Amino acid sequence: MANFEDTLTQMTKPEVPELKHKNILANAIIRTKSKSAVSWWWISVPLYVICAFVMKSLYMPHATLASNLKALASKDKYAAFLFFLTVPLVLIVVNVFSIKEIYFLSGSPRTIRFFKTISGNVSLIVLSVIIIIIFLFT
Amino acid sequence: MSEIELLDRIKNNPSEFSELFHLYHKPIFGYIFRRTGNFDDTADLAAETFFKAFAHIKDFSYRSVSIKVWLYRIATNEVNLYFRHKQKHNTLFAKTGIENEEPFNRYLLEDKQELEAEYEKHEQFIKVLEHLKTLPLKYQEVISLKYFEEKENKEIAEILNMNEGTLKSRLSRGLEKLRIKCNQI
Repeated sequence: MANFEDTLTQMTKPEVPELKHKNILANAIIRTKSKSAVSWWWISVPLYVICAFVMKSLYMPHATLASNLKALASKDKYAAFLFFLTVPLVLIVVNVFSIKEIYFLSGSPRTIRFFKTISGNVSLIVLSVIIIIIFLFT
Repeated sequence: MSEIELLDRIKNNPSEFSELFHLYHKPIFGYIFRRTGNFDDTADLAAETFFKAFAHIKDFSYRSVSIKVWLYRIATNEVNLYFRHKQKHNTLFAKTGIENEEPFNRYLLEDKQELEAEYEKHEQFIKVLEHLKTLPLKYQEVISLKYFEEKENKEIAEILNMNEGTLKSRLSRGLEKLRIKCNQI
């Protein structure tokens, strides 16, 4: 085993010369804008659904948020199941993975700046949980 | 200039990232190349590594790990993803559009020719790498960092985010597996 270790240590390895393409690449990386990990469109969709229900509850006589949800759930079971359970669950999973990736790529920080960065993901998770709770308990 | 000062400068002025790039591009490129043995994939993966580092450096905290360790972590992750999926993704070269720029293509081709000529000189390394690539990724990464990059156990443990005890046992098991494969030549 020691011999094999010596072989690995002593064998010659390819060395990288000064690379000519790296100067152009460095500038290109700095010029390229990174895409946000979470698009705000993802938040706007569930927000829109919630707002629609809240507005209807506020402005329609005798209608409450709970009664509106119940009406939708009884009228179209599959749509209610999709919008209020499947989509929020998918959003929670996607955002948990996204936070995990950002945490890894940022060098595992525990700073306020990091928490600001993931605030979009956290909002989406909270929103999804609220939607699931409303759906399951009304 | 220390890494902390450089980090502060980059956070204040992102264009200072080029300094970090020039400091670490060669070792990171070398590490990826000595794991994949392929110039084109290495160029893609190294570019992706630095792009991800640039995108997340504003959140990077020096208290957790050094910049060098952080870059090796991202590079290791990129290489592991590459081995898992073995598929060409939408490369940074395509995203930035530089693959169509004439001087860039010419430089890339010249670098490729030079590095491939250098690679061919190390027959024993090529054979070992071919066998290493058949081992599970957890052994590939420790052996590569220890024997190809000549890193200390402490630094490898930091890069792979594991304790030194686990690293030693993984190295020992990986070495045994690699030795058996190499003896079958």
